[in-house]
Amino acid sequence: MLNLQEILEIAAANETASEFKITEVKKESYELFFVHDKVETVRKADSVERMLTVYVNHDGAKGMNSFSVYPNTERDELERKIDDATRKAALIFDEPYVLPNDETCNVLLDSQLAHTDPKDAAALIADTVFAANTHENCDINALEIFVVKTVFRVINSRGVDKTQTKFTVHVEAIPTANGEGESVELFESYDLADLDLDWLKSELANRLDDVKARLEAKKPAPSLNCPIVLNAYELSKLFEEIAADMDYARAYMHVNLHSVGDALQSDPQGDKICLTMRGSMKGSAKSNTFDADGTNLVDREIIHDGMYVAGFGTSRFAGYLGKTPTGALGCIEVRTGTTPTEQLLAEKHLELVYLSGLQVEPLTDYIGGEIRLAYYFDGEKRTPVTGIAFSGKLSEALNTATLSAERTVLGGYAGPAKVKLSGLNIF
Amino acid sequence: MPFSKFLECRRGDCVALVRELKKRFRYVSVLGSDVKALSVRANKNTSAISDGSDVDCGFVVKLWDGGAFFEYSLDDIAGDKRFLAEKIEQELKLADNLKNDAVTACPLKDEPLEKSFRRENDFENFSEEYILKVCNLCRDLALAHSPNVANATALVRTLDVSKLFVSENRMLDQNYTWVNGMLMVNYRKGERMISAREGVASHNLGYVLTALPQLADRVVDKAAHLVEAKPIQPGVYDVITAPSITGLLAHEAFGHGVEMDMFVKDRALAKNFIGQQVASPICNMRDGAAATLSVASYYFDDDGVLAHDTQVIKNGILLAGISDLGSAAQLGTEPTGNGRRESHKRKAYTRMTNTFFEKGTDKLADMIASIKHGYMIFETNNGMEDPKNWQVQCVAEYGREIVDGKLTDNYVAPVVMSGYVPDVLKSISMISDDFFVEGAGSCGKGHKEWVRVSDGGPALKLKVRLG
Repeated sequence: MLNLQEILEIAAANETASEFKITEVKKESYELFFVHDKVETVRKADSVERMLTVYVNHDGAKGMNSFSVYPNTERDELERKIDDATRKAALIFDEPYVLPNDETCNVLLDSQLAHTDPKDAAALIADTVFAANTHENCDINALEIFVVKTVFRVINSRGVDKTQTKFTVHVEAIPTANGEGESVELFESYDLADLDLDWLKSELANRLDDVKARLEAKKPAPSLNCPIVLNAYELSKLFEEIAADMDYARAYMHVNLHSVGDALQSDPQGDKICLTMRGSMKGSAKSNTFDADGTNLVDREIIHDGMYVAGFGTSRFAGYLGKTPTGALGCIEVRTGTTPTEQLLAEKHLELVYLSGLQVEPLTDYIGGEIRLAYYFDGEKRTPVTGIAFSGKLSEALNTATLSAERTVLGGYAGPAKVKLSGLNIF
Repeated sequence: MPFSKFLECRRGDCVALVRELKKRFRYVSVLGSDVKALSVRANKNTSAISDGSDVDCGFVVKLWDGGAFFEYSLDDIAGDKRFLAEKIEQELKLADNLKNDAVTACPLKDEPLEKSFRRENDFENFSEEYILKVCNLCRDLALAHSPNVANATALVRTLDVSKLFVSENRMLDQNYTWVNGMLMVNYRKGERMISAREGVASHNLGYVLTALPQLADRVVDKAAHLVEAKPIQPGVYDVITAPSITGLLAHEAFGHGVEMDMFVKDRALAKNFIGQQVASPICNMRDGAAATLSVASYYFDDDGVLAHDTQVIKNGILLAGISDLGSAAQLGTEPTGNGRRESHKRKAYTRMTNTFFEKGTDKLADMIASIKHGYMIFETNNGMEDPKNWQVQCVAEYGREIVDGKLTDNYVAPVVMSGYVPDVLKSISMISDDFFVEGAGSCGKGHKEWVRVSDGGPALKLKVRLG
């Protein structure tokens, strides 16, 4: 088995390659799978993924070719593959760009998980999830736990050599409520950067309340006509779609709809949206310090008071556009509003708890989805409802946005815990 | 393409490791994967030749000794087998508080079989340079078609799968290929920007490379209509599903619902409806790697179970589910060759393969003519299942209005079809006599564990809510 140093030396010895880059992902994963509260499968996965990218500058253009280097790859096979890669790279006539250079670092994204045996962490999580269920006739029908250590390293021929070690947990749980002749469930999935068992227990206890409500939920009659309240999971999807339009790669490919100076909210009647792309956020499993090119991640506000104010993206596409790179940013922070959640929920509304999937299409100005559980508040009483859907114009809905003052972090999203939107059809 | 040299070299190591671990466990198997994937892409600004995202190389060891299942994934199994066996056993030990709380299962079947499977293909006839030339041609054809085409991307993805399965009594290996070609355009008109795509798939590269350039006119023409598309007025309509949406319905409405690992977890209502009417009596539905030739047509699954062709629904009656080895052992049923992994690094679950409604006897023209006002809906965007509660959501890229029995050029987009599964399936009143399975899909379990799947069928006429 070739070590990284040997791969570097073999790549550097190739005379046709102008530059090269190696990425290495070492992953150790300990996994538990439960059927009801019984252990069904115990897994361990140890893997090393290496990708070698060869760049060839030719004819005023730049070409590249990437291929996997397996742990069993022999020296002569790798030499042949690099030769082959230079031949393929020479077929590509992309606009030249400059690779990041001369930076080294070795970063540990600190977490309690770094100091806990993965088997113990998985067992603690399992205990926490099952302990969250204090309801009669409720169950966690299935549970999957992944405790993962990932060491990511990127090295290039221009002096970049960066390593990041990070610990994450993925939990997938199925809270279920059983009634007479009927049983309903919710699907819950969490990516955590730390072993925050109190948060997990409280979150699942809330979801168990929700699934119990789903058992009682009925299709409302007649059709509802009221504002809709989105929660963190759907908000993260919504703002991901909105932010993606400002990626430098999209601008370079001419497939973006908006540019700097355009309005996200053309006629804001509620809160004005401010959105910052971030490299890392406390509590987010999507946090990173550099991207796959080795570019350090730099936070950037891309939407200010409802206006697009900047783009973001990798060194390659930033370079093409003459902009400063931010690296590939994976976290989104939205500025909270001033309306306390209690006040936001005080008037008639439909609070969406569980959708089959939020459909957000900024290009066609669409937002909608099938609602599997929501709470309808008629001004006096809160009732669980199901069997309905909603849709409408995204741009018009965003103009009406009221953002809660309460902040939450979920996955790669930090921002208002709830957002109220008006003008959407519920049917 | 020949079977993987690397896996061939490790065949003896697999046998030796199985033998060593059999000293400690009642059931032992090793699955070796060597999946080569190539991605060639060209658009207005960039092009690339690189390994595709499906690349995978490594092994997974599966163990069972009467309680829980154990799996260990690793990159290579060369070296001292006694040391490796001890390491595997050590690494998979359960925490003390979980030791006595495992599922129960029937002994895993390990019937004797030694067999090699190969599917002929033409990959060696085409260089990456030629594939790139075809992609460049497709891009140029699309860009030349209209100044409104902001960008055009042509993509060819090839898959060359070698797998080796070794247990005490079984030694299986297989090699097969698949190719997907796609042409996508971004089309801008005034303030609106939309994307449209067309695809082609086959086990032969030559077929895809010939067919792809012929899609340029069609995709730009479609984009020109889609950019004018209006939102649909939400409501319940008479609807005709094009084969892609028929397949999406089969996949989301009943495919996920009959994955029998969901039966084990009491997560699927279908478990209680075997033998009962769940769809219109004219409906027949199948799933199986051996049911048709498409992207999920392997010879044996990732548990070493031979490919099946499972009749899921016959004449509207739910006949059977599909299962992986572990779920079948827990349920005391026969596995159906549906145990699949995203890669050697991931767990095997019950997964769909090629899932489709069978064709009927109606002419599509008659089906359209039978509708006073409704929509024909096309092209899968995405879908979401709910096997526990039988809700379904299918998102189509677009629909075309049917007025007085005629398919108009009034496009609507996007179109979300949703409802209660038995209501939707029982409303099927006509089924066309043609049939198409689209081999370009990917399916997740929950929000992860992506595997390649196909789905499709004929056109269906049904009554359903669109929004």
